[in-house]
Amino acid sequence: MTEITTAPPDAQPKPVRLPPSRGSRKTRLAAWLFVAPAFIAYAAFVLAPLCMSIYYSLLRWDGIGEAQFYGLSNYVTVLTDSDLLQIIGNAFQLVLYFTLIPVLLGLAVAAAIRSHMAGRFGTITRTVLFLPQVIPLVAAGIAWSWMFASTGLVNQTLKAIGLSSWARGWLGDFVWALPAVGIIGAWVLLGLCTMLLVTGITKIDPSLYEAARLDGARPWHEFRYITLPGLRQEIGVCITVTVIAALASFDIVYISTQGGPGITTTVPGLEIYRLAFAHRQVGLASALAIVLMVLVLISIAPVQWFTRDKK
Amino acid sequence: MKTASPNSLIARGLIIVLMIVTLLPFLSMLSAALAPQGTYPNGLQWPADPQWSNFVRAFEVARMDQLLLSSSLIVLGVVPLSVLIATMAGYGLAKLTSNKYKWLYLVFVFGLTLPFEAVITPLYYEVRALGLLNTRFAIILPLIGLYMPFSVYWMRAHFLNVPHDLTEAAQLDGATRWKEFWLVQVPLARPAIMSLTILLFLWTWNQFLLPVVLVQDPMQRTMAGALGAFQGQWGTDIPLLCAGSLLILAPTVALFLVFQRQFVAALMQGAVKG
Amino acid sequence: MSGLTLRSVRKNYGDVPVIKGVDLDIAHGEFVVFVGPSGCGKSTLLRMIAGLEDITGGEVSIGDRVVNDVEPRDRGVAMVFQSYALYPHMSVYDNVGFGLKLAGTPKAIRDAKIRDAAKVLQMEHLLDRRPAQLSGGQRQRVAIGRAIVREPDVFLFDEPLSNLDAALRGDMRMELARLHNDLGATMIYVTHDQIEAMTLADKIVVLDGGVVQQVGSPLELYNNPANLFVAGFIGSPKMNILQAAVVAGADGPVLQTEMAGAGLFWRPAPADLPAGGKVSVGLRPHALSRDPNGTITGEVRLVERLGNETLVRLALPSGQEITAALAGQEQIEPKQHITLGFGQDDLLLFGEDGQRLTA
Repeated sequence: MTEITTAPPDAQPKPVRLPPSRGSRKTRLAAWLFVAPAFIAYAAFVLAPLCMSIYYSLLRWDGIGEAQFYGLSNYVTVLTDSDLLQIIGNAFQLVLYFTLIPVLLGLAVAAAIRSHMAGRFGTITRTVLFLPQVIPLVAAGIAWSWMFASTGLVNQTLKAIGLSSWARGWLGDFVWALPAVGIIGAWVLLGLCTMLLVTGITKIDPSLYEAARLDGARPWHEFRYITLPGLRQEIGVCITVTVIAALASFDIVYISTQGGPGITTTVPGLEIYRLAFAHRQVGLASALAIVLMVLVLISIAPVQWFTRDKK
Repeated sequence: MKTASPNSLIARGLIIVLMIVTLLPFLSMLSAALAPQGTYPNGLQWPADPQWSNFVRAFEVARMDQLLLSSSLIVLGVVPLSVLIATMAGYGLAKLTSNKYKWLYLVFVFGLTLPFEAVITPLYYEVRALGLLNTRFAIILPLIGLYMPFSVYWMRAHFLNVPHDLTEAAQLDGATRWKEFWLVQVPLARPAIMSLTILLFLWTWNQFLLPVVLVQDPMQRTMAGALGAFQGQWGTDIPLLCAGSLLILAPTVALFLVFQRQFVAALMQGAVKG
Repeated sequence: MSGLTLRSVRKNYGDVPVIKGVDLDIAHGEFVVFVGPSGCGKSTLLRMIAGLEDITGGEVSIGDRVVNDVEPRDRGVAMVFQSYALYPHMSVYDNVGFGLKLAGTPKAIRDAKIRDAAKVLQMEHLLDRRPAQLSGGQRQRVAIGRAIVREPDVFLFDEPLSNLDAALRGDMRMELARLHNDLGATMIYVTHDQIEAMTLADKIVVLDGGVVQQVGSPLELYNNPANLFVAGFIGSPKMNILQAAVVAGADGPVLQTEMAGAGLFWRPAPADLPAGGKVSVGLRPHALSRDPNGTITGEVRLVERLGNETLVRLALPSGQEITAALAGQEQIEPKQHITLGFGQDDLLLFGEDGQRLTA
């Protein structure tokens, strides 16, 4: 009854690592079917238009009549026209406000308040700080348009503390309009970043801080060597979200300044809209759109890479 | 961790300052909304004679009831379907994890950083070609597509954490793929589905670019989209504009206050996973 | 009658062969254990029988039909997973009855079957609970209950006890044995634990590297291992393996081995071994006993007292170490020198290729 089969005695069984996609062909076919509807929607309303964008960007077209093949001329315009370059620059300037303020301020605040977020007080804080994320961006734009108006709260405050010479029509000022728009964005994003960072801090093992204190670390050291590294992921998320918001901004600018005065607050998102639908320059608009997309990718990639999971 | 009393006060003070800064714009809008019509109120001041009627007038002038209906219809058109097909796709992609098929997932991920402006122009022509310009479908259909990268990413992340032997057990129990999906996986995915629904609801309700470009009639837009037209019409009447804006942001704020725990959780996870 | 047959079954993952040609006959009602080290392919084989993995080559038959292309649910099998795979959002009642519900079984019948299974497994009081509220052993039972109600032709168990603590494992082992007696069903059981294999199996299939090393009853494998792998795998503590050289002697080749004492010749070599060859000699720890006239002398390195026996780790003059399992409670200390003896019939000889030599 004993069946003896030959086998080399010292055949080391290589532990075979199962490839992740186990199961039969039928599994794979079923999986495809499950993915299909989402993919069709995505392809129809994102991928196809994206390809069309690329196609349009090579044309000279007014959206109605004949289209002319234009090669890369539109891209040359985008990269050399001083107005367009300024517009792109505006977006990056907004990054300073949309990203730096919420992240830096958020870090400072989060480090200070991390142990005070419990209970009722914490819930109220969370609720209030998230309000800007819940309202439409245009509503935030209108709220701040009013704040920045000549008789708005900002000027009122300045006058009250004796700086009435500083009061002005902020959103109509050639120098201050862009920073003002930046403030709006910072206000919208500050709460989210603060909350993300606070949550991130609570995830840091408290015993790290205790060990550091025993090693003689002062608060600044604790911040630099424990808090900051522990918050890498969250900081990465904050930067990603805020940079995208800045570069792709449209709503806030449309409603608060319409891009003015002049083009001091015009951002690529707004200009694409204008070029395509007001100035009837579809080719140029599309080229700008593609350039914007590339800029977003280039800006996000390093952040993602730096904060990738190193486990 | 011992926290000394002064630190505690500073911390709480800081929080309160933050909250005030957050609430100020709302308060200033409120005070302006209560000022007499057509006037230029002076910053933040509680008016002597609060004109609550401004809200009523804004409601009527902007036809808020219609706007509420319109936004609701759009949300109903976008969110359930998006959540459904994204859940299906997330499940499918979670089961297709070998490197050969990873590219399919990456195609979706690519769309995560795509600004809507990059595709708005062709979308216009596409929607026009479909004959849907100026209808709510002009907003609904593209949004479903535009939400897929995030939604699929979100649901896939959930399904990756479900042990595979659950599927196998269901197979052995005689479940077809579809039955297993509905009877086993979807109930398990409820938290992720809820969070996704909240996020998509928010983004749809507050959507501005698509309505503005693709739909002329404010009554067919989202409330946020209608605000653009509203500003054009009544921009010089600050009290009315502020009242209207407050009304427009009221629904999401109200829902947020009621469901704030779920909203906050969803928003935070949404940012992290996005 | 539902036995199980595997003919030349192979499985590749891409280009990597994982199961390299397995032939097996399992009779109806047998309790068969697939045993082997990690990566040997035992789970893969089980999953191929279940229908959860594609079969690259060969045939799997349940009863008298080939089931290679048959869906898992139609094969007449039920499986108990290592991690139980209970549906977290369903009660125990619904978990157990899920398969029946899918099959459209009328509620009354379904209810009866669920309660029967619950009674057999003594878990009637758990029917309303969710898996999260159960202990490991209880979840195990629910998983088994889910398999029982399907009344399968073949029960498949994938390392079901490895997630339980040692004490519980012993109890569950007995329950499984009892279950097999009560149901009389064919059961295929995968484990890496040779004690489970020895105690539960009617027939053990030892696998290594995707190839069947030996098939037989537990005692057959213990007494007559077919090769070095099986010899070393079955039995605890592990069998001692020593080297012997074939040396030309007066009446033909003999084996020279340290165990026969330094430099002593000992027993004629098996007939077909040329002089100069090498042979492995196996001796189980339990075959050794204290014997002042024994041929093994060495220095004690380690003593483990288990109460009913004493395990001694002995270093031979050459430095090689062997293990002896001595009955009772011996008064032995490390650094002592002791002498052990054994019976010639306890020796197992293996050739250079690892195969067993029958002298």
